[in-house]
Amino acid sequence: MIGIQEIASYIPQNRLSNYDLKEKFEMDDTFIEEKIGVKEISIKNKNQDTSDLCVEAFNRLTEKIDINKDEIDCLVVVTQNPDYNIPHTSGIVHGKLELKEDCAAFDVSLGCSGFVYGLSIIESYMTQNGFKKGLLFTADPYSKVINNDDKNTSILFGDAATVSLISDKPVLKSGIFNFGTIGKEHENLICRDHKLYMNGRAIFNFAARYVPKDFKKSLEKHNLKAEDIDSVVFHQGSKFIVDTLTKRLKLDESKVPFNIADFGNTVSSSIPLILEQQLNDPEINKIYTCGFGVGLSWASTILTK
Amino acid sequence: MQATKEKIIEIIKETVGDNIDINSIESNVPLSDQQVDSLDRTSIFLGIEESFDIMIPDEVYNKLKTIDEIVDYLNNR
Repeated sequence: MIGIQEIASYIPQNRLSNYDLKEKFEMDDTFIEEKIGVKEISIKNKNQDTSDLCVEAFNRLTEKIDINKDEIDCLVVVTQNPDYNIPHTSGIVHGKLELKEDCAAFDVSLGCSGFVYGLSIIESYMTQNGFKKGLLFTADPYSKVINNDDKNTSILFGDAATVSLISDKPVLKSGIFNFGTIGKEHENLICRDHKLYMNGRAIFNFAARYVPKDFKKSLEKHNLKAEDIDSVVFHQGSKFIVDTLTKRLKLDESKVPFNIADFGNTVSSSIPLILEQQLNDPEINKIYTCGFGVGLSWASTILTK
Repeated sequence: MQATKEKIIEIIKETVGDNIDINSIESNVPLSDQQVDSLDRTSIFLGIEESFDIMIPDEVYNKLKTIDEIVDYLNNR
């Protein structure tokens, strides 16, 4: 069976503090800490591009586990902020990592649902083709498209990249996936003329309406009850949305991680950043995870050790 | 369903009651002047939409500042 063997991540060291924006955006400490839950956002260096963030994440993966590059059969990069429109960023990462020639590389254009989608895609693709080792990258540096005068987005999104080693020696095995799309609402989170726009109310309503339903549907499909789940890993949109989902589903708060205070909403990287911490936690064996956002789109599954 | 001040206050209590002093809330004062921030507002209005089974467009949402205005809108839409 194919699944996640290891996860590594890279969060750029540069930070912008939201406390410095209190006056500009008329925010107080409670709003920063208890509502959006983001004190600082991580920002990549100007000379770093999306593929460089992927390379940094890969370098950290090699510090955790021996990787024979000649054994990598495929790599996938989940991003909507690629180095270029043409070519695909995965090709650039392939070149920078000097992977073998008979290695497949392609991008997946999705935002906050991208990691879960990407997991399903790469696992299916590897199974179909008899591949044994693949790399699933997430890297969506929104700093490339943020308007610094827009409160809705500039205090929220941070840069990061992750890489998951997908192999036939999985630690985390995927269950049944759910996917969904509300395409008619795509304009509520959109990048036009290289500037990001988000209708925060619409995104909040979307998540609050659809994610709880998905949780229940996923439990039913897996023949599980809520108490069978050790951890509920939601996309880390903001503290407010994670708290709202926790409340609406009446979940035990201790089972619902929130970890973005020091770097922000890292889009498709937010879920693997948490899974990286949970991979070796013996107390956590069953994880429901759901990514939701741009599209509007969502994807979920239940991961089992 | 008829909208009343009491019903809207009940929804506010259910959605963001942990964040504000619900007992001192006044129906003719803008919610934003009563500890209700922009995120709380989205949560309250989602509660209203779900309770009354309606969708409130952004342009209306942006205009409704007080509980009295919300009640008036719901009963005259």
